[in-house]
Amino acid sequence: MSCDEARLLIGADPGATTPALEEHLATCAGCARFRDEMRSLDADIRRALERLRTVAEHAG
Amino acid sequence: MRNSEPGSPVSSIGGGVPAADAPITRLLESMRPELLRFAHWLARDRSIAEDIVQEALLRAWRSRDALKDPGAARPWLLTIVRREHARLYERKRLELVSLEEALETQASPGFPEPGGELFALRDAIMRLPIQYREPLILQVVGGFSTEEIARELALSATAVLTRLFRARNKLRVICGLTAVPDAPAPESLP
Repeated sequence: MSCDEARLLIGADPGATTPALEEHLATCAGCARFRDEMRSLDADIRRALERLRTVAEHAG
Repeated sequence: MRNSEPGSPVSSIGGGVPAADAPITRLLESMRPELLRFAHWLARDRSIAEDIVQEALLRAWRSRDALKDPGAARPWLLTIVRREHARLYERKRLELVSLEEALETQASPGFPEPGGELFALRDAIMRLPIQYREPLILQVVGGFSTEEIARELALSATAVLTRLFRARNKLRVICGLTAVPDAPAPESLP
């Protein structure tokens, strides 16, 4: 797996993984760091998307 | 058409419902807050989201016999909501809500404070073009897999991966991270 392929998979779904991706990350510090960043970003995205639930439920 | 009674979207069909249909009525009612949130992120407007959910719940009610497994109700209903939004979007042939109007809700209770990182991120998600926002909402809010999103949007799995990658890549910059080079279209991904 190339770095481009690894970053596409990570960027599309930071929480998902495959054996081929893990094999790549074991030897590529740059992509491993990218995954850490994207997982952190994804946690923020989920928190941001959750906020509308509060409003919807209050109004509902 | 605007929903003039934002209370219960199934209240209009709830009256006089045979006892045998009471469980599906309760199920639809219980899903309403989640469907509304999902529709709100797609349409970027609460009133339009309410209309979408109302129509979706009526469609779901009319085709309730198609729901054989109550455990599959969530993806079934989210799909109906997405299609209802798509129908509305196609009829209008434009972005349904101006960005400024959509972002007026930022002062509402429950939203992050202006100036915070989550506030900026929420705005950035709202600003994503529909082709990036929709798969992201389907994945994160709806819990759909790449393959399910691909089926729903009539795209290849690779196209979905690329759109999700680009959506998050745009959001990286908002959070002070460096955008990475655009994803190629790989041929060997699983």
